[in-house]
Amino acid sequence: MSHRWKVLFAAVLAAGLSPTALGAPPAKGRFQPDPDLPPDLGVPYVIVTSEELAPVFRRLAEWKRSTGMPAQVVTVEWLQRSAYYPGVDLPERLYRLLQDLRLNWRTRWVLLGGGVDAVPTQRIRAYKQALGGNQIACDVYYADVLPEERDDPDRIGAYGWNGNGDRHIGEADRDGFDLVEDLCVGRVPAETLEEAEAFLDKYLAYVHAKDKDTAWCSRALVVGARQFEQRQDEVAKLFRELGGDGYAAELVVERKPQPIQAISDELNKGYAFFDFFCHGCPAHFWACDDHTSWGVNQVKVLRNEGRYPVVFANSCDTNEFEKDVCLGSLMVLQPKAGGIAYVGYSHLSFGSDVNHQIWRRLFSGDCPELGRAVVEAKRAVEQDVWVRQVLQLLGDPEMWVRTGAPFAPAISGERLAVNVPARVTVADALGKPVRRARVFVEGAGVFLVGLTDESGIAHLPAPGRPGPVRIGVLAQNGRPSEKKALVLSKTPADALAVARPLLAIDDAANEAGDEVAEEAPEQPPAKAEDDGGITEDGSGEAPEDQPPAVAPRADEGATRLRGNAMKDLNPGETVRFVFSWPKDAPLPGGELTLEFEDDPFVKAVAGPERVEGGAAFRVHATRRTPAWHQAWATLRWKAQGEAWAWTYRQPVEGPSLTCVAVAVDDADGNRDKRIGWEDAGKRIRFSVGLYNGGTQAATGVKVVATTSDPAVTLLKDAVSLGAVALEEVAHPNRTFEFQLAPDYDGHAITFGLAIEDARKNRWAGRLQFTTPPAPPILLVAEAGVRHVTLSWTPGGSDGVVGYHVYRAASARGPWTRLTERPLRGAMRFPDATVKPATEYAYAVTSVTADGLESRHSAPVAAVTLSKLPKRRDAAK
Amino acid sequence: MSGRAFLLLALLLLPGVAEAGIEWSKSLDGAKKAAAEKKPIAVLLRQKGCPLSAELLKNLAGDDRIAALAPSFAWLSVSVGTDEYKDWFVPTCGGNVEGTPSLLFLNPKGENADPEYAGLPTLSTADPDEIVPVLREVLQRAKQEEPAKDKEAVAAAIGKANAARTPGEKVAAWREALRAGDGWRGEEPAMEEARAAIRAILQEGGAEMLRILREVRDVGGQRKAYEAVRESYAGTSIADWAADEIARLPKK
Repeated sequence: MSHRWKVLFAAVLAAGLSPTALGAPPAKGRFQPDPDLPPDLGVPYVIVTSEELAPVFRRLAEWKRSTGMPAQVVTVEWLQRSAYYPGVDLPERLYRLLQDLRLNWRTRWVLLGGGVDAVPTQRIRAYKQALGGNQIACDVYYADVLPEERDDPDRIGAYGWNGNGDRHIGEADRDGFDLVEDLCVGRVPAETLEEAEAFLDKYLAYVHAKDKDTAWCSRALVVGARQFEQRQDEVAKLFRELGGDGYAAELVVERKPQPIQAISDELNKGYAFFDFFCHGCPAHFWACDDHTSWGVNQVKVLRNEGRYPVVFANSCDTNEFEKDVCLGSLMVLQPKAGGIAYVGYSHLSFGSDVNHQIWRRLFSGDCPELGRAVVEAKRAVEQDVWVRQVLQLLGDPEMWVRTGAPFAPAISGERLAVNVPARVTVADALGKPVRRARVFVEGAGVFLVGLTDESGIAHLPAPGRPGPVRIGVLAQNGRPSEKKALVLSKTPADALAVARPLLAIDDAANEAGDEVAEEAPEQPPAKAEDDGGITEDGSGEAPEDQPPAVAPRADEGATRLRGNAMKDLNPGETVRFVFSWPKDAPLPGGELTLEFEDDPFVKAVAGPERVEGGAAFRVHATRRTPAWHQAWATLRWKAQGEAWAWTYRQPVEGPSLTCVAVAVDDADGNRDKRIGWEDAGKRIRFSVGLYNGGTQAATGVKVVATTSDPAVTLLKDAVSLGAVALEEVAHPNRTFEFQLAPDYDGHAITFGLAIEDARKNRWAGRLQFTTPPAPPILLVAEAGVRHVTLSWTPGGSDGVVGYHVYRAASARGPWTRLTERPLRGAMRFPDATVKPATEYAYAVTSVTADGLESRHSAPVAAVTLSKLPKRRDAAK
Repeated sequence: MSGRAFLLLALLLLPGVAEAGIEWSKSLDGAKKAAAEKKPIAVLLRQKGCPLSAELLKNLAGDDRIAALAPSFAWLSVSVGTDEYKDWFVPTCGGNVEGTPSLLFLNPKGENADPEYAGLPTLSTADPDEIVPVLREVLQRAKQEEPAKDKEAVAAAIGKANAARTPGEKVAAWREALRAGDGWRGEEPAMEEARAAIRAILQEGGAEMLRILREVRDVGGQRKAYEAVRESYAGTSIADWAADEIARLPKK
């Protein structure tokens, strides 16, 4: 941006002009995957932490990568500096980042690495009017990032937890969120590097399970107060049933003579699970009916190093992780003792059986990851909205939970050759196949990952290069194991080698006369004739009596490519994805399909069709596709009993124009930047500047201005701007012109802008001209226990019709607006959403009739009183 | 400051420490004795772990105006949960109290229902600027005279305000007048004048800022104008506003 327009831009902002546009925001500050990660897998595991704690969590990310799970660390400080993710506060911005990751980068696991000071949580409106207030800390906010209607591109972009735009987040039936978790989220609430290190130390000990004593992996500790004995007896029976022969479940109910010590003694022996059902509070639970409690003091002296249980707390409040003293946090962070993960309630518990659902999933063999078990269990108790809101996980959501004795998986039978689908077999020490183990092959530019089937065989993608690799296995209850191997350059005699096809995009479908409807009807991809199949034993060998597939001649029935074969995929277009194979390689004769995984914007609508040298599919990107959307296309081919799959990441490209600068010129040559009542009757000229934050230059850009203001007569309403290059502001001196009525009174004037380029990409903008009012002054805050009453006097500007009230934890912000609409006719505001004994800061703004808002007033601080003890007992 | 630090500070300021003019009685009988049938009794309700209670104790000990007024009161501190709280405070005064800290006033006989003291607010703030006027009001109801030196301070501040050259100096002087006289019945007209003057000066400052926004065209002129505002309104929120606008201007 040239200096002149930077000055103008700054002046426009200083004047309170608020140009907005519906085009995509500039791409600066948007998440990009680490270039060291494999290019075709996205970033399934993300750790959000602070710069201070990042060194520890980077080590966790490296460990994840070494076990076949691509992982990346993002810091909160980076997010705060980013220009890309919008939001009224940091939690909302983090929410938008996670939504981006889920939609575009295949993220499914999120670890919040830090306490609420490092990585803030969101406070949402609880579904039940619970004692102590109805705002709860809720990390589920970060997990539910997509609506139920995932195929609706309009719903995706608008989805959030404050659909009605008021100051309450997470209101049931009003805000439009579905409370179905789309990400598995866990938190490690470390406040310091030492705490993060302590967790990582425990975590690595857990996943490696190197301790000689492994009996703890095959038993569960179940604890309850006397009143809950029957229910906990059922849990103990459940563990024995799920664990099978040899699995022990120890039930401890007020064991005399020292019931509290008895729990500690048992934990010190070591258990894989610790399930308790007692009344509780943040620091402890009441292990006995007489309220004798077990809690943080006992955790601090536990001696169960290396034998860390997964904890389920069927108890109120013990997972209030935003509190300084929290049993759940301490269990997870206590060095060399305590638990490895904690699933509990951050507010009241009403004794749901969701823990049964979690244990069933973890023991099923199909769901080793703790976070996924929790998410699926919560879906299973769908009608219990409270549980879905309040039950949260402290720990790694992608941790594979131990449900039995550790073993060392054996790797064998590997078939690794260039361009041949890889196979690896995993068995236990007795030779029994291990199902659902994660197998990964890494090295020499190769990264393949897959799960073993019932036969213990992992069918992996074909490696594209020869060379030495490392094969690793992660199995539930297994110790991580690995083996060195070699990807051969020579194709085995019984295999067919098919190189990864090249992808080019052809816009032949958009030639003149070849109009495509905005929403092309979805058609299932056509299948070519089936020449083979997977044999019954799953080996993929072609049956002996079937001849090998014969490649047709290159030009037999093939379409020649036309048009520009080097273009990108733009919003609103239908193009051809053309896959081409090397000249002397076989063309696909089996079954070829193209899928876009979980993508509401881009779909394969027809194909395959034979083209010269390969095959093509028609692909459509809806016009509502945001720029920089990442489409993940998987091409699958089955032939001769083998299956290949190749993944391609295709960004959806296009220009993205935003109105960023305005220069105003009245007829006297006075380049005044503001319009007021003194301009009544004048002719005013203005020009606009457009910024291109997209991924392609825009050409042939035209802008048309409209207004419905009766005081304004547009004399010239259309301007051609020509080309707008990438990351440039184009601002040629071509002006719009309008006349103000003689009785114009200085009210805000608004213009709509319709922007269009030569390719018929369209954006909308809005301009508003006026000067903001002065803020109110002399704020006074009177604080009670659960209320703060604010009062102020006007700032003295004309045209002020109301006030907005903002609140923050301190005068430095960030600020949250408390008023849905401007307060009219009042200069007092009672805030009843405060907590006792808490410091707040308040500021107020003046608002004019057209919605123009002043800057914040000077802030005022308020500290609420501490509450007096209640007469009756609290709930559990 | 963390909650724990506040608590430590509160412990240092427990009753018995006669810092800055406050001698805390340990019981209602003790307070009545100290009141000697003349002094109003100031009752502070606090509780362990309440950070605002600790801040209030600190401010009571640290404010010079409170130090000057303190000997005219008998002071009683009651902690939530003690026998004094349960047996005496809750039945007698509990209806007026929402949380901690709470500062309320009894007549010299230790009675809560004296009509002479009716209408006095129960203070729930740690801000000395809000506490001092109420202490003064209580003393006047207890028929104690307004100190001469406070009257002099108000007169001097008004004189300073009238002689001040810049709006910032005027606001500072009017604020001094409020500090000296707020709560003394005899000074009410002067306090009204002070508040109105401060309001008017700040509104004028806001109007000047808007004028610059609307009328000054070039960046150099804006910078100069904002710097002039910042200087002349130094010490007020108008100066902060001008500083913000200067920071937003493009660098030279």
